[in-house]
Amino acid sequence: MRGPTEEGAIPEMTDDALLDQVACPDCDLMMDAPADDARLTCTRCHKVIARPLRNTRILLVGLSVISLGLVAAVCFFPFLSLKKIGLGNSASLFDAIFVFTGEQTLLAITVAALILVIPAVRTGLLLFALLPSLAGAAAGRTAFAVSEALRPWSMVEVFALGCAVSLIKLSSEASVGLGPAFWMFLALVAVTLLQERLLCSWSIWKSLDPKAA
Amino acid sequence: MQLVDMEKPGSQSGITAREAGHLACRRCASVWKDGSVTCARCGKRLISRDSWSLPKVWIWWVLGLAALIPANLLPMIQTRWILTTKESTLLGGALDLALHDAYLIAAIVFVASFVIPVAKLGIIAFLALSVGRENSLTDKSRLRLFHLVEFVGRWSMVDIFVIAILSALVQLSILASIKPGPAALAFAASVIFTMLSAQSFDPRLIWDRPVKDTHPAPPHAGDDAQ
Repeated sequence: MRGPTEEGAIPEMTDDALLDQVACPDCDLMMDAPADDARLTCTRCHKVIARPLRNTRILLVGLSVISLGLVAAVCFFPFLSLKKIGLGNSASLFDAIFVFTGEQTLLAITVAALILVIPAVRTGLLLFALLPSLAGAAAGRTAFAVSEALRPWSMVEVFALGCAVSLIKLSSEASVGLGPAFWMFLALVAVTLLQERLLCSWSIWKSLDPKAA
Repeated sequence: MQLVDMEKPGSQSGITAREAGHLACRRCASVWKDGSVTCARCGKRLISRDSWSLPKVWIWWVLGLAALIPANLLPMIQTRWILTTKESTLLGGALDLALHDAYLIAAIVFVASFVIPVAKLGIIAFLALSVGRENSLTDKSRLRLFHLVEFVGRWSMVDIFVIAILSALVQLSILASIKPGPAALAFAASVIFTMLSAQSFDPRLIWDRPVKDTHPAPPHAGDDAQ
């Protein structure tokens, strides 16, 4: 609950937003909004607030399309295979997810969501927001908001670490083969990390601003 | 030009949106006049400081801690080797490794699966309790702790992914098989609840000084008393 604040304390304000100002999301410090293409780091807590790069939009669109394709392909090809004294087994990512079904369906749903569904949905929504002509600005804002909220729940790189740990655990016991989907998944991790580096949410929000259109 | 940095931690020359009587949008960093209801840029509801931030932190925190108990007591993994089936818990597995002289791996498993989840909850509790109180850490160190917990949160899911991969792969008919135990779901739930707890924490609370320090007797001094 906010109490009343003194009117007219800052006289130079317009009725509109204070679009020449930004506030650090982590410490609330107000700063001048960065000029186009300028990087802005919070002067108090050093959070990176804006890091616009030239022409990243088309690059992000390309990376999003690639990563959607990779997510789709990675599901069906053999991911890892295992051999021990004549007996072998090969698993796709679908196998890794659906091994939990039956007794552990909830766990299967969780793993599927974290490594496939959320990354795919998040990339799709990002694509939607980057191409406002697809959707209109209002839908683009909703799409980007959801995409940003899903960011911590998209865990492809964590799964990649899980693969590394599993390989170390198994390699002393049996021979492990890396399938085509494994390499596609590594490519997906690289694309995701690059996308993360290029994405500046401040500039995307600015471009989606209804007043800026 | 010489600049003398003489400020105490947390009180710099700059002014926060709250101190200026504005509302900041945490999603898109834009600033709005007090009285605005939603952010006209990104559509988020504007709240200077969400009074539900700390209650939400504690609700998820309790759930995260509660899920950690079955995660440690129930079997995490069932290993079948020819005819013998073995169930091992998180700590049991680490102990087993230590007994087989694999001290380094045992230490890594112990730290990753037990120490880190407990430490995350401990840090979140410390941050939530330190809001609006005197404490020995600077604001910057506390924000660093917050970022650490936010960063580490999702990586704790690696244990679950390893179990998923091992269970899918080690299905060698009569020879051997691995199945996830009931603790796996509890552990995943604990990781998720802990992430939600950290996400509910508004780091801007770290920097807020009791209102008395900046303005003498303001009309809304109760804002910080949460």
